[in-house]
Amino acid sequence: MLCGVKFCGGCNPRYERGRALETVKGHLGDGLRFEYAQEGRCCDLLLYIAGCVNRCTALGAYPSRRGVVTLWDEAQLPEVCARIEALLRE
Amino acid sequence: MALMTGEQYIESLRKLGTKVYLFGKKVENWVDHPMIRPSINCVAITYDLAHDPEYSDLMTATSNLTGKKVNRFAHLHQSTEDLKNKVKMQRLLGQKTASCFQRCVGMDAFNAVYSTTYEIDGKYGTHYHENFKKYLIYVQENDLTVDGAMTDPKGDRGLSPSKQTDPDLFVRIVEKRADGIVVRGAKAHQTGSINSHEHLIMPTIAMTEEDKRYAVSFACPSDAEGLFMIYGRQSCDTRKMEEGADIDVGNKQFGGQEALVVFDNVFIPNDRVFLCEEWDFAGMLVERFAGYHRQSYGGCKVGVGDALIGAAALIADYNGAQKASHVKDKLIEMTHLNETLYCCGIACSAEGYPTKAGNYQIDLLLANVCKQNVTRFPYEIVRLAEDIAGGLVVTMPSAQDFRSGEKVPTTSGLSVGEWCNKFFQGVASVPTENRQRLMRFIENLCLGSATVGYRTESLHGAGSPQAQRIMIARQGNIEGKKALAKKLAGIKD
Repeated sequence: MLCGVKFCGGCNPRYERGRALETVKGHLGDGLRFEYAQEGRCCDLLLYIAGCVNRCTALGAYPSRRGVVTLWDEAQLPEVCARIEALLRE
Repeated sequence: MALMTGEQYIESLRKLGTKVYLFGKKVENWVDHPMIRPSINCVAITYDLAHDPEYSDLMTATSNLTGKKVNRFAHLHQSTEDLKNKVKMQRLLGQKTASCFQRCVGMDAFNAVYSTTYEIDGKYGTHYHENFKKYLIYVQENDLTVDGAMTDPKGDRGLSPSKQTDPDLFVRIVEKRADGIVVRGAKAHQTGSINSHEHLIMPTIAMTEEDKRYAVSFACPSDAEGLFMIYGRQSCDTRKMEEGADIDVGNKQFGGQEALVVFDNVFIPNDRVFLCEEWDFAGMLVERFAGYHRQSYGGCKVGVGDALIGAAALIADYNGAQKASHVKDKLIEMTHLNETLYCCGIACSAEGYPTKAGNYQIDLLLANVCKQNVTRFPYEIVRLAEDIAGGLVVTMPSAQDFRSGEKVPTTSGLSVGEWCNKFFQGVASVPTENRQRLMRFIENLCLGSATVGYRTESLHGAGSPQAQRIMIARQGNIEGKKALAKKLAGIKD
């Protein structure tokens, strides 16, 4: 199962986005392969890590089969991990 | 060529034959010169971040000319989203460097020259737009840094270019040949010129017909025959040349750069000429470049401001003053001022519109309001940072003193370094060196070499305050506002 990772551009992030990704990986590593999303390449699910509530990245060029999970606040990490786990079970 | 890395960029500079003078002498290895290198590191990060997945969304864009991924600094804005992303990218880079990263002038020049040449060709049947498109594709494909150069030395400010005693005080055409033109003159205060692969020259003011020889825009390599640069001094610049320079520099890795760029009869082939005596378009080119560059400051200076606000908050912690209500309030005020600048940068982008050529232009009124605020707010942010930091910013002994093991012949028998570390301690749990480093970082931005970028460039860069006020007067629609008042007041005439 491939999880594409897309960061926003990081103009003024409110938390360490890279560290957040490591947390997600640490929690869900088994059975899920993480790669940076590439334009036009379809992944199973897309993890979009935005630095703030604006979530301003256009994601149209990053297709995914099971949908997009968005993180824009470090406090959402448990919820995001749970959401990904739920998508994996579907 | 794919997008360059920072290292590849630095190596590409070594291959150029750029002629640089500093302290009266030609510098052979200017790439590794301690006074110049921090400014090169700044440009290098614009390359490195384009490869970093955490930042590539802002640092890159898809070229409308080739369909390929390019560095955003070489991009023509295709939407208001692009305009906003430009400002966001600049804030990011200001945060990463706490310096002027220099590459914006090229990006702003590309967008101004692209749309202006389209309109010149429409009126005169010239081929400048095609020339420029080919040139920009060359820049994009080779991921080049280009100095967008506008400001002439100007001599007597009361006289037009053609009326100056010395005719070289504005860049001019001295010869027109079948295969190109020969130009002469200089561009002053050129940000990042030495670190640029190419120069893209524009006129500095609107022209009349008698000044048509000065209405010229062109591109040339930075190592063109007849072109050389004289490096501009910065406050505290020679600290970078001290042995083991680190703490006292304030920002060891990054810095800005300005130089005088001299054109001593430089030949420009026809395919690199974008304006040649069509004097009535000089004003349009100036206005568009200035507009983009005034937008830029709503991003870059904000990012530097973020770093300074962070330093002020941190030094309050180190001083043990973080709980004082006036300190908290000053940090709020600094943030308010800084985010106001960002609001202006985003607003003039969101209100952008397509030019006849198709690339997007910012809202000129809002961009000029943005820059007018930039001429003021960083000064107040600096004042507040100095207020919070305290006088030690300007009275602290040198790093050598802190390191010195030389014993002072008194009863205690302590060394100079021990005395320094004893008396310059703040909160006991914070190493004195951390406090020392942060004081120097603040000094660098408030009084040192970074003030070139954060203070004086904020005042005069992209046009001095009065230039914005002239544009605000033109764009402010006072007659429309009078009509509003008349209607509301029931005045009928």
